[in-house]
Amino acid sequence: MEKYQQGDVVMFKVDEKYFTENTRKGKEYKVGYNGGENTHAIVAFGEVTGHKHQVNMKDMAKEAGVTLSMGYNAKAGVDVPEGFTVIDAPVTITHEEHDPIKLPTGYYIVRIVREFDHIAGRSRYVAD
Amino acid sequence: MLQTETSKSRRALCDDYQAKYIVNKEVEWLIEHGNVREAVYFKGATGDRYTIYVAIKRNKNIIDFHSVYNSYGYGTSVGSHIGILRGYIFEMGVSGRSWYSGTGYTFKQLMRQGIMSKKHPWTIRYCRSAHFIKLHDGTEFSPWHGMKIALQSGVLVNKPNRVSVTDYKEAKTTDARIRKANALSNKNNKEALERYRKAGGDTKAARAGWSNGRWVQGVQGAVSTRENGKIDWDMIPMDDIFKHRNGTLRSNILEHYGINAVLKTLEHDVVDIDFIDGREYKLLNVEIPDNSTSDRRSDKCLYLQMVNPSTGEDHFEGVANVGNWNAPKEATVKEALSWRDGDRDMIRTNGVLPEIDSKDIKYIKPITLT
Repeated sequence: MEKYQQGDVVMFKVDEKYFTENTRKGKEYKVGYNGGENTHAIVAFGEVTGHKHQVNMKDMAKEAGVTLSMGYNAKAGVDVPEGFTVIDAPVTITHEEHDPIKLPTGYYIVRIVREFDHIAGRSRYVAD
Repeated sequence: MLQTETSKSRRALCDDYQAKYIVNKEVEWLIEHGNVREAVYFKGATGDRYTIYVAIKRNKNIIDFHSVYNSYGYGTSVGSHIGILRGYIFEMGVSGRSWYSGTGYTFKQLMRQGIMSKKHPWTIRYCRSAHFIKLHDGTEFSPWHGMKIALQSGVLVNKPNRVSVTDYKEAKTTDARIRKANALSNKNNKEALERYRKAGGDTKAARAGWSNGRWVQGVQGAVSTRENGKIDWDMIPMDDIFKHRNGTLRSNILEHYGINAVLKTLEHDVVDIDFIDGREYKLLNVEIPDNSTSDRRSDKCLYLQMVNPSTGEDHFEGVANVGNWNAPKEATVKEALSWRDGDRDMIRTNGVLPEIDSKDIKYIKPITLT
């Protein structure tokens, strides 16, 4: 299992079987992005700063495609997807405060890093 | 209820009996008029329903008290001998110091059944780590195995033993300490809330509670009561973080000052240092004061200190303390990073975590980290 990390977003590169088992299957949960209409595949959106971990498909190879696999009631562009697939060509994920990362084609599971707030006494996902 | 193999007339005699010294008239009737081997029994009060207390007349002067545990699911088990009534002197025969099965607890249950002086009743309460019995003459002590108490006069017949004295003193000392700490923590919390309100902060919004029959979570993030929507943070000192009880209010102040500024004011030691791809990571044990709760004066808490590889900024993040639920198993940088990134969650199959020792889960080093 390979791991790519951009700030608080961790992307685990997994095999197809693992990806299928750990993401939702219906079409309604899949949102596709390419160089056409849907161009900005947002993997994580920072509500505090407005910064985004995203793939701008316009800057990618023409054949490249990204499909976000959303969770129940989750909205692409706002919520963090369960995972995503990169097809046909590698893509680059960018963020305002972090250097870009090149992701090879494959299946990815997305996790947001967590921290423990000792002062509030609870565990939470890091807010960007 | 009286159980007897004798005729109904004895039952009627017991029913008609007017007790003079003991609240439970059936036991007093057994002392005064019961035959040898005659018994009375009563079911435990609310919270003690599965226990049956049996008093059996052993001879002319002695009545034995037994408890029998009875439940519908598991039947009736053999009981234990819990005390003796010698004339009107009751002697506790139960040892043990746990609150639910020790002398104090059993004595309390017997009191609830009326094994108590009618004219000179006493009280019992559980305080911190021991039961306290207070007699009508003001004497207070912790019950012990072998304690003798006169049911007619309501006085203690023998002196408390060492165990009783130690238990009583310990509980009293703990109680005094906790009461003092509670008072201080209440004061701290009250003053911190007042400062927060004066600065324009909304303390009600941060509080979870019932509203129209629904449980409503507190609003995350600082909410102001002022028209301009701002909070005057200069009126809220940094150490109010450790005085508030409400986690959201603490987080709001922390959000304003930043964890880096707060940690600089606190004592800490370095638990582990590691280098990953040339980047230095430190695991710190930070002494966090807690003035908002009664018994926790300070806590050692783990924090990961790292450098943002893209900007070069120093950065702190809290890590769950070792030993807690769903926390790292060891206080090392790699364990902390593995917990932070959720590496353990990645070994789930169909959402189910296999049963393996989390020590076997190693930190997955990122191919690229920015």
